Amino acid sequence: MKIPVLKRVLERNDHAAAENRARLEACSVSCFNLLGGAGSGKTSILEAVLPRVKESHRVGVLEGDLATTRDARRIAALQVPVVQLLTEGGCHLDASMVGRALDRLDLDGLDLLFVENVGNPICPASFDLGEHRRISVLSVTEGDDKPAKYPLLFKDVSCVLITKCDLLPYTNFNIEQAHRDLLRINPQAEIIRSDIKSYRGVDELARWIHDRAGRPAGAK
Amino acid sequence: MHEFSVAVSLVESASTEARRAGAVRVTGLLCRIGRLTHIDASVLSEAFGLAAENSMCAGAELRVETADLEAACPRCGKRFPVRRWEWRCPDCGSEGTDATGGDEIVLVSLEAEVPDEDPSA
Repeated sequence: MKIPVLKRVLERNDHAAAENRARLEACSVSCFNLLGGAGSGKTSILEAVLPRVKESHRVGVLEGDLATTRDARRIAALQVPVVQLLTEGGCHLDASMVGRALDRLDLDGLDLLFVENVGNPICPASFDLGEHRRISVLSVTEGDDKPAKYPLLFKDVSCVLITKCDLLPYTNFNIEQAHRDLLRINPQAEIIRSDIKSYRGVDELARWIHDRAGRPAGAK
Repeated sequence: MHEFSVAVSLVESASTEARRAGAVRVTGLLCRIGRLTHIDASVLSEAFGLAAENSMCAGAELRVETADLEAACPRCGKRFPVRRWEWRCPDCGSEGTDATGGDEIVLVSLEAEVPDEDPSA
Protein backbone atom coordinates (compact mmCIF):
# COMPACT_ATOMS: atom_id res chain seq x y z
CA MET A 1 0.00 0.00 0.00
CA LYS A 2 1.00 3.58 -0.59
CA ILE A 3 1.27 5.80 2.49
CA PRO A 4 1.35 9.55 1.90
CA VAL A 5 3.65 11.21 4.44
CA LEU A 6 4.92 14.69 3.43
CA LYS A 7 7.04 15.27 6.51
CA ARG A 8 10.37 16.87 7.06
CA VAL A 9 12.97 14.13 7.35
CA LEU A 10 14.84 16.02 10.08
CA GLU A 11 11.67 16.23 12.17
CA ARG A 12 13.35 14.74 15.21
CA ASN A 13 16.06 17.39 15.06
CA ASP A 14 13.33 20.03 14.66
CA HIS A 15 11.66 18.77 17.86
CA ALA A 16 14.94 18.86 19.77
CA ALA A 17 15.56 22.38 18.41
CA ALA A 18 12.12 23.52 19.58
CA GLU A 19 12.90 22.13 23.03
CA ASN A 20 16.20 24.01 23.12
CA ARG A 21 14.46 27.22 22.05
CA ALA A 22 11.83 26.81 24.79
CA ARG A 23 14.54 26.22 27.40
CA LEU A 24 16.43 29.33 26.27
CA GLU A 25 13.28 31.44 26.25
CA ALA A 26 12.29 30.24 29.72
CA CYS A 27 15.56 31.81 30.89
CA SER A 28 15.21 34.86 28.56
CA VAL A 29 18.34 33.92 26.62
CA SER A 30 18.67 35.02 22.97
CA CYS A 31 20.65 32.55 20.91
CA PHE A 32 22.68 33.24 17.75
CA ASN A 33 23.97 30.44 15.51
CA LEU A 34 27.20 31.44 13.77
CA LEU A 35 27.80 29.65 10.46
CA GLY A 36 30.53 29.74 7.85
CA GLY A 37 33.30 27.82 6.15
CA ALA A 38 36.46 26.70 7.91
CA GLY A 39 38.77 29.67 8.37
CA SER A 40 36.12 32.28 7.51
CA GLY A 41 36.79 34.07 10.80
CA LYS A 42 33.96 32.94 13.08
CA THR A 43 36.11 32.58 16.20
CA SER A 44 38.04 35.77 15.48
CA ILE A 45 34.89 37.84 15.12
CA LEU A 46 33.59 36.40 18.40
CA GLU A 47 36.88 37.31 20.06
CA ALA A 48 36.51 40.85 18.76
CA VAL A 49 32.84 41.40 19.52
CA LEU A 50 32.39 39.56 22.82
CA PRO A 51 34.27 42.12 24.95
CA ARG A 52 31.89 44.83 23.63
CA VAL A 53 28.75 42.75 24.05
CA LYS A 54 29.86 41.69 27.54
CA GLU A 55 29.70 45.30 28.74
CA SER A 56 25.90 45.19 28.73
CA HIS A 57 24.95 41.49 28.58
CA ARG A 58 25.84 38.21 30.25
CA VAL A 59 27.20 36.06 27.44
CA GLY A 60 27.94 32.35 26.94
CA VAL A 61 29.39 30.45 23.98
CA LEU A 62 29.08 26.92 22.61
CA GLU A 63 32.04 26.09 20.40
CA GLY A 64 31.42 23.41 17.78
CA ASP A 65 34.44 21.73 16.23
CA LEU A 66 35.53 18.46 14.70
CA ALA A 67 38.52 18.22 17.00
CA THR A 68 40.66 20.12 19.56
CA THR A 69 39.60 22.58 22.26
CA ARG A 70 41.62 25.47 20.80
CA ASP A 71 38.62 27.67 20.00
CA ALA A 72 37.10 27.15 23.46
CA ARG A 73 40.41 28.21 25.02
CA ARG A 74 40.41 31.39 22.93
CA ILE A 75 36.89 32.24 24.15
CA ALA A 76 37.62 31.24 27.78
CA ALA A 77 40.53 33.72 27.74
CA LEU A 78 37.88 36.47 27.46
CA GLN A 79 36.36 35.30 30.79
CA VAL A 80 33.25 34.07 28.96
CA PRO A 81 31.65 30.74 29.96
CA VAL A 82 32.20 28.31 27.09
CA VAL A 83 31.38 24.68 26.35
CA GLN A 84 33.35 22.89 23.63
CA LEU A 85 31.32 20.51 21.49
CA LEU A 86 33.42 18.01 19.59
CA THR A 87 31.73 16.19 16.73
CA GLU A 88 34.74 13.86 16.27
CA GLY A 89 34.55 14.17 12.51
CA GLY A 90 30.82 14.97 12.22
CA CYS A 91 30.27 17.77 9.73
CA HIS A 92 27.61 19.75 11.64
CA LEU A 93 26.10 20.36 15.06
CA ASP A 94 22.61 19.04 15.66
CA ALA A 95 19.98 20.11 18.16
CA SER A 96 20.44 17.15 20.51
CA MET A 97 24.19 17.93 20.85
CA VAL A 98 23.32 21.52 21.67
CA GLY A 99 20.67 20.33 24.14
CA ARG A 100 23.29 18.31 26.03
CA ALA A 101 25.62 21.31 26.04
CA LEU A 102 22.87 23.54 27.47
CA ASP A 103 22.84 21.23 30.51
CA ARG A 104 26.40 22.35 31.19
CA LEU A 105 25.65 26.09 31.17
CA ASP A 106 23.95 28.20 33.83
CA LEU A 107 21.21 29.55 31.54
CA ASP A 108 19.69 31.68 34.31
CA GLY A 109 22.99 33.53 34.44
CA LEU A 110 22.98 34.41 30.70
CA ASP A 111 21.31 36.93 28.40
CA LEU A 112 22.96 35.87 25.15
CA LEU A 113 24.27 32.58 23.82
CA PHE A 114 26.43 32.25 20.72
CA VAL A 115 26.81 28.86 19.07
CA GLU A 116 29.79 28.68 16.76
CA ASN A 117 28.98 25.90 14.33
CA VAL A 118 31.47 23.51 12.73
CA GLY A 119 33.39 25.29 9.96
CA ASN A 120 31.54 24.08 6.89
CA PRO A 121 29.56 26.06 4.30
CA ILE A 122 27.13 23.23 3.52
CA CYS A 123 25.76 20.87 6.16
CA PRO A 124 25.19 23.05 9.26
CA ALA A 125 22.66 25.18 7.34
CA SER A 126 20.15 22.29 7.25
CA PHE A 127 20.08 21.80 11.03
CA ASP A 128 18.02 24.03 13.33
CA LEU A 129 19.73 24.12 16.72
CA GLY A 130 17.07 26.12 18.56
CA GLU A 131 18.70 29.47 17.83
CA HIS A 132 16.70 32.67 17.43
CA ARG A 133 18.84 34.13 14.68
CA ARG A 134 21.61 33.04 12.35
CA ILE A 135 24.70 35.00 11.48
CA SER A 136 26.69 33.80 8.45
CA VAL A 137 30.31 34.62 7.91
CA LEU A 138 31.82 35.04 4.44
CA SER A 139 35.48 35.93 4.21
CA VAL A 140 37.09 37.85 1.38
CA THR A 141 39.68 35.08 0.98
CA GLU A 142 36.96 32.51 0.24
CA GLY A 143 35.86 34.36 -2.90
CA ASP A 144 32.85 36.42 -3.99
CA ASP A 145 31.25 33.41 -5.67
CA LYS A 146 30.28 31.73 -2.39
CA PRO A 147 26.74 33.17 -2.10
CA ALA A 148 26.00 31.68 -5.54
CA LYS A 149 27.69 28.38 -4.72
CA TYR A 150 26.33 27.91 -1.21
CA PRO A 151 23.06 29.89 -1.17
CA LEU A 152 21.61 27.91 1.74
CA LEU A 153 24.33 29.29 4.02
CA PHE A 154 22.95 32.78 3.44
CA LYS A 155 19.25 32.16 2.75
CA ASP A 156 17.51 32.22 6.11
CA VAL A 157 19.99 34.24 8.12
CA SER A 158 19.47 37.61 9.76
CA CYS A 159 22.98 38.92 9.27
CA VAL A 160 25.91 38.26 6.94
CA LEU A 161 29.37 39.35 7.99
CA ILE A 162 31.88 39.88 5.22
CA THR A 163 35.17 39.41 7.06
CA LYS A 164 38.82 40.13 6.24
CA CYS A 165 37.87 43.26 4.26
CA ASP A 166 41.40 44.58 4.85
CA LEU A 167 42.49 41.99 2.26
CA LEU A 168 40.21 43.37 -0.48
CA PRO A 169 43.07 45.23 -2.25
CA TYR A 170 45.05 41.98 -2.51
CA THR A 171 42.30 39.77 -3.95
CA ASN A 172 39.90 39.81 -6.90
CA PHE A 173 36.92 39.65 -4.52
CA ASN A 174 34.17 41.81 -6.04
CA ILE A 175 32.32 43.10 -3.02
CA GLU A 176 29.49 44.66 -5.04
CA GLN A 177 28.90 41.31 -6.74
CA ALA A 178 28.90 39.53 -3.37
CA HIS A 179 26.39 42.08 -2.02
CA ARG A 180 24.13 41.68 -5.03
CA ASP A 181 24.17 37.89 -4.78
CA LEU A 182 23.56 37.93 -1.03
CA LEU A 183 20.55 40.22 -1.46
CA ARG A 184 19.16 38.05 -4.24
CA ILE A 185 18.99 35.03 -1.97
CA ASN A 186 18.14 37.04 1.15
CA PRO A 187 16.86 40.58 0.59
CA GLN A 188 16.31 41.10 4.35
CA ALA A 189 19.85 40.27 5.42
CA GLU A 190 21.85 42.85 7.31
CA ILE A 191 25.26 42.88 5.62
CA ILE A 192 28.18 44.08 7.71
CA ARG A 193 31.71 44.51 6.33
CA SER A 194 34.34 43.81 8.89
CA ASP A 195 38.04 43.62 9.44
CA ILE A 196 39.13 42.82 12.93
CA LYS A 197 42.67 44.14 12.45
CA SER A 198 41.25 47.67 12.44
CA TYR A 199 38.07 46.69 14.32
CA ARG A 200 35.98 47.79 11.36
CA GLY A 201 32.41 46.50 11.65
CA VAL A 202 32.87 45.27 15.21
CA ASP A 203 30.87 48.07 16.83
CA GLU A 204 28.24 47.75 14.14
CA LEU A 205 27.89 44.03 14.86
CA ALA A 206 27.84 44.63 18.63
CA ARG A 207 25.02 47.16 18.12
CA TRP A 208 23.13 44.78 15.86
CA ILE A 209 23.36 42.05 18.52
CA HIS A 210 22.46 44.49 21.28
CA ASP A 211 19.33 45.61 19.38
CA ARG A 212 18.16 42.03 19.02
CA ALA A 213 18.91 40.73 22.51
CA GLY A 214 15.69 39.81 24.26
CA ARG A 215 13.58 40.56 21.17
CA PRO A 216 11.01 37.88 20.35
CA ALA A 217 12.10 35.08 18.02
CA GLY A 218 11.26 35.64 14.40
CA ALA A 219 11.62 39.43 14.53
CA LYS A 220 14.56 40.36 12.33
CA MET B 1 28.51 15.19 3.57
CA HIS B 2 25.50 15.03 5.88
CA GLU B 3 23.87 12.25 3.88
CA PHE B 4 24.29 9.69 6.64
CA SER B 5 22.46 11.85 9.23
CA VAL B 6 19.66 12.32 6.72
CA ALA B 7 19.60 8.57 5.93
CA VAL B 8 19.30 7.65 9.63
CA SER B 9 16.45 10.14 10.11
CA LEU B 10 14.80 8.82 6.95
CA VAL B 11 14.80 5.24 8.30
CA GLU B 12 13.37 6.44 11.62
CA SER B 13 10.60 8.55 10.04
CA ALA B 14 9.67 5.89 7.50
CA SER B 15 9.55 3.14 10.14
CA THR B 16 7.37 5.28 12.44
CA GLU B 17 4.95 6.18 9.66
CA ALA B 18 4.76 2.60 8.37
CA ARG B 19 4.11 1.21 11.85
CA ARG B 20 1.39 3.79 12.38
CA ALA B 21 -0.29 2.56 9.18
CA GLY B 22 -0.08 -1.05 10.42
CA ALA B 23 2.59 -2.05 7.90
CA VAL B 24 5.30 -4.63 8.60
CA ARG B 25 7.81 -3.72 5.94
CA VAL B 26 8.73 -0.67 3.89
CA THR B 27 9.46 -1.52 0.28
CA GLY B 28 9.88 1.94 -1.21
CA LEU B 29 10.35 5.58 -0.24
CA LEU B 30 9.96 8.78 -2.21
CA CYS B 31 11.94 11.80 -0.99
CA ARG B 32 12.06 15.36 -2.22
CA ILE B 33 15.40 17.04 -1.73
CA GLY B 34 16.23 20.65 -2.43
CA ARG B 35 19.22 21.34 -4.63
CA LEU B 36 20.61 23.89 -2.16
CA THR B 37 21.19 21.19 0.48
CA HIS B 38 23.98 19.76 -1.71
CA ILE B 39 22.79 16.28 -0.74
CA ASP B 40 24.06 13.81 -3.31
CA ALA B 41 21.32 11.33 -4.23
CA SER B 42 23.70 8.44 -4.90
CA VAL B 43 25.59 8.97 -1.61
CA LEU B 44 22.23 9.23 0.17
CA SER B 45 21.07 5.94 -1.40
CA GLU B 46 24.25 4.23 -0.28
CA ALA B 47 23.93 5.67 3.25
CA PHE B 48 20.26 4.71 3.32
CA GLY B 49 21.12 1.09 2.45
CA LEU B 50 23.46 0.93 5.46
CA ALA B 51 21.14 2.81 7.84
CA ALA B 52 18.22 0.56 6.87
CA GLU B 53 19.97 -2.71 7.72
CA ASN B 54 18.03 -4.70 10.34
CA SER B 55 15.15 -2.21 10.23
CA MET B 56 11.74 -2.47 8.60
CA CYS B 57 13.19 -0.40 5.72
CA ALA B 58 15.85 -3.03 4.91
CA GLY B 59 16.03 -3.57 1.16
CA ALA B 60 13.59 -0.73 0.42
CA GLU B 61 14.06 1.25 -2.77
CA LEU B 62 14.77 4.95 -2.26
CA ARG B 63 13.67 7.34 -4.98
CA VAL B 64 14.76 10.95 -4.83
CA GLU B 65 13.15 13.85 -6.67
CA THR B 66 15.02 17.12 -6.78
CA ALA B 67 13.48 20.48 -5.89
CA ASP B 68 14.83 23.75 -7.24
CA LEU B 69 15.18 27.17 -5.71
CA GLU B 70 12.34 29.20 -7.22
CA ALA B 71 11.94 32.90 -7.84
CA ALA B 72 8.99 35.03 -8.87
CA CYS B 73 9.09 37.45 -11.79
CA PRO B 74 8.14 40.93 -10.53
CA ARG B 75 6.86 41.89 -13.99
CA CYS B 76 4.87 38.94 -15.34
CA GLY B 77 4.34 37.04 -12.09
CA LYS B 78 5.72 33.76 -13.41
CA ARG B 79 7.43 31.50 -10.85
CA PHE B 80 10.47 29.79 -12.28
CA PRO B 81 13.35 27.60 -11.10
CA VAL B 82 16.68 29.34 -10.50
CA ARG B 83 19.27 27.00 -11.92
CA ARG B 84 23.00 27.75 -12.16
CA TRP B 85 22.29 31.12 -10.49
CA GLU B 86 20.28 32.31 -13.50
CA TRP B 87 17.73 34.74 -12.05
CA ARG B 88 16.22 36.10 -15.26
CA CYS B 89 12.60 35.22 -15.96
CA PRO B 90 12.55 32.80 -18.92
CA ASP B 91 9.45 34.59 -20.32
CA CYS B 92 10.24 38.29 -20.01
CA GLY B 93 13.86 38.51 -18.84
CA SER B 94 13.19 40.46 -15.64
CA GLU B 95 15.26 39.69 -12.60
CA GLY B 96 13.44 37.25 -10.28
CA THR B 97 12.79 37.99 -6.60
CA ASP B 98 11.18 36.31 -3.57
CA ALA B 99 13.36 33.22 -3.65
CA THR B 100 11.77 30.21 -2.01
CA GLY B 101 12.42 26.48 -1.68
CA GLY B 102 15.39 24.45 -2.69
CA ASP B 103 16.17 23.68 0.95
CA GLU B 104 13.60 20.97 1.62
CA ILE B 105 14.42 17.43 2.80
CA VAL B 106 11.00 15.80 2.78
CA LEU B 107 9.69 12.26 2.95
CA VAL B 108 6.85 12.41 0.42
CA SER B 109 5.41 8.89 0.56
CA LEU B 110 6.08 5.25 1.33
CA GLU B 111 5.28 1.93 -0.24
CA ALA B 112 4.73 -0.60 2.51
CA GLU B 113 3.40 -4.10 3.05
CA VAL B 114 0.56 -4.63 5.49
CA PRO B 115 -0.01 -8.17 6.87
CA ASP B 116 -3.41 -8.91 5.25
CA GLU B 117 -2.47 -7.28 1.98
CA ASP B 118 -1.88 -9.71 -0.84
CA PRO B 119 1.51 -8.69 -2.29
CA SER B 120 0.49 -10.06 -5.69
CA ALA B 121 -2.60 -7.81 -5.77
